Amino acid sequence: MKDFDYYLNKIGEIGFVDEIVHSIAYVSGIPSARPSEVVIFEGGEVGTILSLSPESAEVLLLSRQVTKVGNKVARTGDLFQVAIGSGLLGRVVDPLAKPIDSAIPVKDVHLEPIDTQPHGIIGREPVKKPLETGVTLVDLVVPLGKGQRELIIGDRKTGKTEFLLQTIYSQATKGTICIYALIGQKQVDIKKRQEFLEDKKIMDKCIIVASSSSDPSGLIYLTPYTSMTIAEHFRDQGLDVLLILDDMTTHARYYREISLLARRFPGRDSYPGDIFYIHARLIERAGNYKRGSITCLPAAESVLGDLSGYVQTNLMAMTDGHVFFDIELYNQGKRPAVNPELSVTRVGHQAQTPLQRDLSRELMSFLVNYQRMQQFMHFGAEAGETVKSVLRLGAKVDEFFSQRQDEVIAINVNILILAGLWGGIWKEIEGIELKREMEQIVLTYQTDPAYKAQVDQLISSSPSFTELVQFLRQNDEIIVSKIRR
Amino acid sequence: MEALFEKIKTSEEKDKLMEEIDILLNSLFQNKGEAFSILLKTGVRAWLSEYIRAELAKDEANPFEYLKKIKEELNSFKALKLTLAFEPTESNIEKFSYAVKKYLGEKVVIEFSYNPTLIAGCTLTYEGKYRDFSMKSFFNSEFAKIKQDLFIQMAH
Repeated sequence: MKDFDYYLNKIGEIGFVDEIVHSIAYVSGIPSARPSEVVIFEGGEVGTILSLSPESAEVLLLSRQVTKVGNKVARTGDLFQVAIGSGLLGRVVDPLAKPIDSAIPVKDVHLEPIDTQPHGIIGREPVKKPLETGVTLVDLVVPLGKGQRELIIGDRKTGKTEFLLQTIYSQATKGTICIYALIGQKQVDIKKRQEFLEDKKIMDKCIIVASSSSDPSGLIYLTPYTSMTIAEHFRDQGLDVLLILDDMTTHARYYREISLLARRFPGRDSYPGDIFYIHARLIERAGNYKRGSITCLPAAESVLGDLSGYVQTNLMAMTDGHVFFDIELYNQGKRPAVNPELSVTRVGHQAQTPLQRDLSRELMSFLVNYQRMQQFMHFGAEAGETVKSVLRLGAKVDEFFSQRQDEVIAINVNILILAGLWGGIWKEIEGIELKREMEQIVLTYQTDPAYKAQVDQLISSSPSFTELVQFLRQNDEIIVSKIRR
Repeated sequence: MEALFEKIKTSEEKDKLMEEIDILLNSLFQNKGEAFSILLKTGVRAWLSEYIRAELAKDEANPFEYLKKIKEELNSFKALKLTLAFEPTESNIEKFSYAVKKYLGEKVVIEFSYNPTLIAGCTLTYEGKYRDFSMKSFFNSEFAKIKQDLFIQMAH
């Protein structure tokens, strides 16, 4: 971007700041200003025009430096654009796509507008390819597909961010471009995310777009739009992109602040009337396309497990499902604290193989039955053999689902272990011992290429879950030979 | 009112006149209207006092309506901001005002400001439009054209 004097002489229009209300400046003059146009102040600060009235233009301030009343303003004649390109890979940038991790400038970039119309139906394709998160419970019960928009919702400190980082790790190692948008977060959290990606050596496949809570509201508001524009750039090259927006409830709060300062009429919970539109026009830009895909995982915070909040229900309406992190399960010590009964995936199953779909159905049916049995036992009734066997198996499945927050597990080895569990391989083994043996299988799969190939071949050749279980009952050495008892 | 507005050339004069009209308007409601005649003698400039007396004497005009009309007309005046590299004299102001009123209309006043860094010429701002006719911008643009060659020469 050029300086103030350049635009003043080029456009030939000038305005003056009449009033500043936090992050909004009221500017008189600049008669030909357009909505969403970028303006530059004489001190070098930048803003974008929110709305126009006969007396003044309402400008949303985007710079950290504060402008003053009486300062001159010039139009740039352009809509808001950010510099994007492959040079952003491995970098941490702000919503203006300027690097904040170091002083090294970003190369190989070009300007793109951040606010574009979502694609129509032509050019889009149904979700067909699976997206492995590396989290057992999600991959088997609430599977995701590439191009899906899945809401990650739960109370604060229930493991949402850890799940998102596991997903990034799982996908980045498979070559997916991962973009992590941190919206209004603490500086220390931004640094921690960066360190996580660097420690896992996947930073070269990732971009972090971050705005901290101390940044101007306008800048925080732009964060997800900049991230989506970067995602679209890589999608247009035919690549699969994973975009994480952490989190959209914070984004809604900052937009509410901007709207109230701009004297917009408050609606429900004091949010402006266009809060749905603000998020929907962003989320709609994700999807599966003929060339490339953008899988969007927006995060949302609930309060005391209440899913009926305004912004939360808005986001649930505009996404293809949600993964619910239950605070009660978290307090019981379950990790991840995903509630499979309250989680939904609308398009994830169509990306699964017949085996996986069969497994999902059977597992879900079992979990519902198991939960019913557990509630039954609360009444202190005597349990028959059937109930006891369901409860025993259920406890083992709980053990199977529990996973460390820094661990990702491939879906094929999960299917193998679950089939082994169903086939009775671990009939006599429980608790920590069971977990240890399962981990041995996982470790062997991750470290022994021949074993990995054998397991992958077995899974891909099994037409259904039942047949796989039958096979393992008769040929359990594929599992047993890798366990040291 | 044209005779009154002809005397207003700059925004300072307009603001001064507005202030005096406000004093007179407020005085209409003080001491049951008696303050008006007192302030007409003591609170405003002589020429303005004479002008208003003459106008009010014509057709027995209502003072409140008349003063309110003057105030509305003054509020509709537009300002042309003129930044010069020197402080203008009375004669300069007359000439500038004549040209402005001729080309832009009677209801335009000039807001002068002084910026010696312009070197010569001026900058104009009117209704959001900005034009720079200063020597400073001319020198800057000429320098921008030759600076590359200049730096190369200096390096050698």
